Amino acid sequence: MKYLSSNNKKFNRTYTAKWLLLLCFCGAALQSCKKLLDVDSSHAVAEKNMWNSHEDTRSALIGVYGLTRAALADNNAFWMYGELRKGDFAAVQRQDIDAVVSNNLHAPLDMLNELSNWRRFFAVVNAANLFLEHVGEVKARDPRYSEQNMAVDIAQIRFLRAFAYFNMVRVWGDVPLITTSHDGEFTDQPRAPQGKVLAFIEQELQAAADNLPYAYSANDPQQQGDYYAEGGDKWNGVLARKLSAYALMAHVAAWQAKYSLVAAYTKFVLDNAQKSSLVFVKTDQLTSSNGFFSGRGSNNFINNHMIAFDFEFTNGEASYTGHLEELTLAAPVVSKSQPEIYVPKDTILSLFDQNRDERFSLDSIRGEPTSTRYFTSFDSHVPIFSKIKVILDGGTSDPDFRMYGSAIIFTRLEDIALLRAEALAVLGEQTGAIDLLNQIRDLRVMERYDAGKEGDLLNAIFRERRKELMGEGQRWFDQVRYHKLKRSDAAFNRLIDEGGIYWPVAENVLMQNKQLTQNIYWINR
Amino acid sequence: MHFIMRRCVIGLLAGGFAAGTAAAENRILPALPGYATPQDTVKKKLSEKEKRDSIRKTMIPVDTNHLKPASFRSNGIDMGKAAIYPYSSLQQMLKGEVAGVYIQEPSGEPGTEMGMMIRGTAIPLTSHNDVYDAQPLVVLDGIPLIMDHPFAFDIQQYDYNRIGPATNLLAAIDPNNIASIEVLKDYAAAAVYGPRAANGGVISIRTKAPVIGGRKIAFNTWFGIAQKPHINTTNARFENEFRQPYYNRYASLDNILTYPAYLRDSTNDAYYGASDWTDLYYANKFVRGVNASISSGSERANFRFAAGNEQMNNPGDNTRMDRYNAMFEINMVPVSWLTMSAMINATRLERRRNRNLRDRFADVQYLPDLGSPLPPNKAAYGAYLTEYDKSIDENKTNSINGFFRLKVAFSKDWNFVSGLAADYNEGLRDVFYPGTLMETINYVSNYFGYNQRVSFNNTLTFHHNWNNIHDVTAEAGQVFEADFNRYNYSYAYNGPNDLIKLNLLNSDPGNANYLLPKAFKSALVYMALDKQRHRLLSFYGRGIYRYKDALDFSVLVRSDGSSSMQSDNWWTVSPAFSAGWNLKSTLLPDQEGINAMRLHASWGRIARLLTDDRFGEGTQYLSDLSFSNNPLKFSYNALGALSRPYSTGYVGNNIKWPYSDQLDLGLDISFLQQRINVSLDVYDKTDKNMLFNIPGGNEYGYTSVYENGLKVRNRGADLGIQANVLPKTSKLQWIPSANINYNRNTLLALPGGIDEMQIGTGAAARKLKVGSAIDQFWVLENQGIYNRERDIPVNPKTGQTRTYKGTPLSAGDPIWTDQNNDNTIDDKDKVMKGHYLPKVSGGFSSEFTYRNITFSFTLYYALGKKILNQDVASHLDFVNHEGQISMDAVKEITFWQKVGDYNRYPLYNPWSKVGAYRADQDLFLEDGSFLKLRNISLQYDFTKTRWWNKRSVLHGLTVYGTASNLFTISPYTGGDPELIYFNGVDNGYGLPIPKTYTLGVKMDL
Repeated sequence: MKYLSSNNKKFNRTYTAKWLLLLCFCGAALQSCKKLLDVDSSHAVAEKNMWNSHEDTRSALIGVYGLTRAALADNNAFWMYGELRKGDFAAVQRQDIDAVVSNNLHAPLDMLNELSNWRRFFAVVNAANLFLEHVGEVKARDPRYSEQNMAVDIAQIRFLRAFAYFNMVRVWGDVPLITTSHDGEFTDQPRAPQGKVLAFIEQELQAAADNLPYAYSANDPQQQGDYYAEGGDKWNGVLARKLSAYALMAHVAAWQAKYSLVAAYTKFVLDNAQKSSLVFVKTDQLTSSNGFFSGRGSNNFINNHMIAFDFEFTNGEASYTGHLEELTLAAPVVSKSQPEIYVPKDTILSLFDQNRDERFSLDSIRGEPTSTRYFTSFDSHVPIFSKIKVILDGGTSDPDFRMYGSAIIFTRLEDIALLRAEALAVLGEQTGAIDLLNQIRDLRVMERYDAGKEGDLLNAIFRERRKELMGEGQRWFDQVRYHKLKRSDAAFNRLIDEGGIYWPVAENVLMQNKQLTQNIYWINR
Repeated sequence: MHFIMRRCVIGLLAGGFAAGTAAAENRILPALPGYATPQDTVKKKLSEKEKRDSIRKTMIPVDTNHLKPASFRSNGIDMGKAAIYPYSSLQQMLKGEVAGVYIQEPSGEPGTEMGMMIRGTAIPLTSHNDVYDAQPLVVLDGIPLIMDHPFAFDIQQYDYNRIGPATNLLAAIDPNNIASIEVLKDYAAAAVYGPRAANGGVISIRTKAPVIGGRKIAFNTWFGIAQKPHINTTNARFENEFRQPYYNRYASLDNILTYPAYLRDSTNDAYYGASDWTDLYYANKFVRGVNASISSGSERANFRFAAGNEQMNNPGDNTRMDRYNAMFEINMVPVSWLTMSAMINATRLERRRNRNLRDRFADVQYLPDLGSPLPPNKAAYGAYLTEYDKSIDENKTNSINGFFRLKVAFSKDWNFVSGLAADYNEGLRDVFYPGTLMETINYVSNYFGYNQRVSFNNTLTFHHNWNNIHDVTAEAGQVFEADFNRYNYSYAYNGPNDLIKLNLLNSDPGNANYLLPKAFKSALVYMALDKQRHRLLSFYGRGIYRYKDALDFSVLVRSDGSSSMQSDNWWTVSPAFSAGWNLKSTLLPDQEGINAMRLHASWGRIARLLTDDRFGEGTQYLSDLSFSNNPLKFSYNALGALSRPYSTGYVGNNIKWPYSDQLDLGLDISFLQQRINVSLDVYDKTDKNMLFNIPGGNEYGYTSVYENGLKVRNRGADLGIQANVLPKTSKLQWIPSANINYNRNTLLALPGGIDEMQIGTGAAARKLKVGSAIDQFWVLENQGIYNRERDIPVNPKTGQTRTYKGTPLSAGDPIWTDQNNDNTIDDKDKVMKGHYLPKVSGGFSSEFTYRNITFSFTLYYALGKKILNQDVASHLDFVNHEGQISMDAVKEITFWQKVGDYNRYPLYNPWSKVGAYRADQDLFLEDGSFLKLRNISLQYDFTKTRWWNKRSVLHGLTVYGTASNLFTISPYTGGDPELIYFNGVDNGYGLPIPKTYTLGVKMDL
């Protein structure tokens, strides 16, 4: 650097000034790197910020409910699995729905492929497993999170996990039984025998039932004070309660044809119904647009949902899809030229053959429907199934916006009563069964059971279920139980024996887990 | 380290400066005023141009470009000429001009997104998101520009357009302000820009510098017309006749009963009348551009101010974009050792969007009954437009960027540059659709989003040249960039009437209804707010050594810390090396025919950023309550919910930095007295350890798992040739030039050791397979039609007829090749075929100059790419596009035009349960290669005429005429082979790239 040798004083001063300036800039720029790079994402909560307070457990608990709702609503799965398959509905035009109706579940259609995928139910399971693994951390960190609160939370989580497994078992038969989160180490798990999974479900539900209250924020001995600082109106009919667990246990037992257990569980539900403010609903309340199906908003059934998943309009949770209405409604109920599915006239007439039935009956003189409770536009080629029609909040009859606020109802008291009737009939307690059947018939204003006219009691009970629970996702499982009991239909027997009552497992699920196998019935079909 | 075509200079140096330029640039630092310049580095006084460059030099880091012989630098395209064409975006300026830069223009609609790819892509384009992630970095005067963040797609059910104005932010740069555009493809040059350069390099734009000594006023304006295309329209009679053969041959009674109502009634004039909708849809439109600038100053202080306006109209669907731009730049040298520079560039873009139904329904996320499509008759279509005109769709984008830099010269060798640069752009969109457009449901939405990047950088440079033998540059730098992207988006349905077009909230905090909507039902008002934050802190050191004019070497080592990496893995180190050998000066000094020859090689690594800040959190929780067709579910029982990201993919705690390695070898030759210049580069670019969402964890609730390990290689060559065909003494000059890129990509590895995976459905179904390319279609091979039942193969063992996934084939179904001979057609019989990115692309241009007249033309081509013609597939598959409420059933007004030839396709049974006209078969896969005449121009320079008064105040006066997009040659039977969606599918949605004719005048005084 020979030029420095020729420098002068002025040069030296500026030279110093320049270096000082450099130091200033460098100093300003080089703050702590750690501080600069430690940026929290604003749209994801890191593990370390997740399990700290009772607000976190609430969010996680609600998350599991929400995932369950999503699993049932996705592609209207609840109805695809339970109602449409070989059910009373026929597809108007859509090939994918027609394939479900005719049990062509392996047809190469996108919707069927998505419905064959059980991932959404396993999301519920995984979220529940994570909750159970981490809830202790919250207990340790947040003194406001009481022992009882934790016990009730855990019971709900176990209920939801068992509910997810029960749905899977009914749809796919054998499924992997995974009870821990395996976080980050997703080993391939084989399918566990259905019996093993059902035993797990039963055990979990009993444990849940033991800890769940009859009602929330109502000083139930098992849940004292306001649950998460909110009144009962916020929770009852939304969260799982003791009777929800018993109702589900009844269904689990029925699926396994353990009818003495069904009788016991259903008795428990019916006997204790008033503790949870559960009541039978009149036909008008059932079918009016702001009635039983409209969730909990503007009606008097605020506590009346036993196992239900809400799309509450006033909360902004209403949606276009995930509702039976998306499939069944059309003009004149909503602005849409044709529905996706309908119940053919012949089926309607053969089922609803009494002329006083409030749900649907023909006027004996004029030959016209007496009401539009179950069916609208009966005259047309394609009658509209309008039993469930919660447009927006249900308080409107504006047909223009096809957004629906109906809840997914898994079971209600009438279902439990008929399930009990079925159990008693199987167990040979004819009188009890007939009483229950007539209780429901009275409710719908029908003639009472007459063995002479109607023949087999069990047939009459299943027939009543078919009418009462039409469009509520029960039909397919009812048929499976019925045919397992009767074994009178050769084609159905073959389905039962060969595993054709289950859905195929989606191809992409099989590809990502080499331990899995396809349901035998669907191989080479 | 590289020559023109790698670091392709467009412009600036078109005049062909002497070899001295490069040498002088090398010595720019000592050229600053105020220093006694030592003898050993400067031999002659600098020209004005060099002085301008000296100030320009304050803005960029060490320029490795000076290692390149000057003869190659004179190659390129005059930006002054680019400014005469009606280009509205950077992408259009680059199209076909630079070897290795491929531009995707999916629509001619002004101001819409366009994709750029440098030397192919390493990211498989499986969703619209990926296109955003694959874009190269654009640097304007050293400011790394920030683009829209794709995270908004998270809340969208349909990803055709990003919410908000979705305006191409690179349309904000006025071509008149650009001095040069360089594409830095060589990692030895690009790596200094850091991880954002990982998508194949950097596009560096330099704006025009202020003049020193004197004053310059420049004016450029053009005016023209965009011509409406010729369209063959159809009406219901045509459609009816088209469907008749299918009905005659295959229809069941049920099928006939459900014959669409709009085709049934032949007395309905709306559908059966004259099909003259094009009168309302297409029109000849004016386009215009005007820009003026003034620049003045001395060596101690100078400035440039420019303002411009451009209006681009497309003849289709009343679409338009307006750009208003102002730019100001100033340089000051208050004391001899200190240079202060500042620039500010502000732009407003206003866009009038298309009116197609798909985009509207995608916005609204609600589909009305689609039973009756828009009618082809003018009167009926006009009635619809009248209603449409009651809607509001305002799209505004404001962009402002600028820098402030200080350069301190400690001595002739030591320099320090400190700069602050910022880029901010915001998008606003207000939408109202009246109830008359959609049953009776009206819709209002408001979007406001912005992207902001602030960067600080400090660079210390040492440069010395010892006796013209050893030339050493050393540089140490630090860069800090803070990014912030956010948007607020709200929408509401079913307001009380069509007069209330705003979703106002109660703004009085005292009111019980504070922040609740005034008119709309609060339950039907939805809101989404989101933000992304990212910080990047980098340090680097770089050394460049040159021995005489013979050898050169450079090394760069860089350390980058990103906040979107996980805390135990914030930092990564990446190096780059290069070497150059001047063969001419060392081996062939006496070879007369060869004027320059240089061989160079480089290897570099550039780390790749993760684009979402949530990856930095590791295992995480978010709201995941949504399900199909319902992307916006955030609450249950009015409570927020948190769960793992089950439907988007597991994010673990071990995510590492991905990076891109590139080896580049190049040769530049200039021979025949520099009349022929050739530049060739071959490269091997491998992106490693990329984060990818692979299927897995289904039994743990996840759709997929994010894992490092995607490895993709792009290999190819860039070639550029330019020739001065006629001797310099000739009055007529002819300079043809050509550029060509050949690129092939290969998937080398997928994460988790898996071999292959499938993505998407229908026309977008793709397979990624190790060893194959990432841009291939995945289709069934079609071999005709089964005319008779007995033609269908039967498995001799089981007696079963051939099935498609279990559904038996029958007469009228396609013959699909059974690749694995299992008598079942399924996904295993689909083959990977064709590429949607071109194998070969580039351009060819020619310039003829005779005295004061210049004529030029440019051709643009892409070869070896295929197109999946979904447009024709959906037309033939009319059965599945009728009578349902889904996006598939949406029929635009353009349904009533004839594109392609339906008779080319076999008469399948459209009702077949196997989907005879499914899009994923090679029946619809066509050659999409094309050659286009992109533009021609004729310029007449008055100042060069003999009669021009040399003392006139006008230094330049040129009138010009241009014509663009005159013809396309392509074997493709559909529409324009360029108007293709990013995944190679022709969905028929692109507006035409119009034939445009302009006249303009340029004036300098």
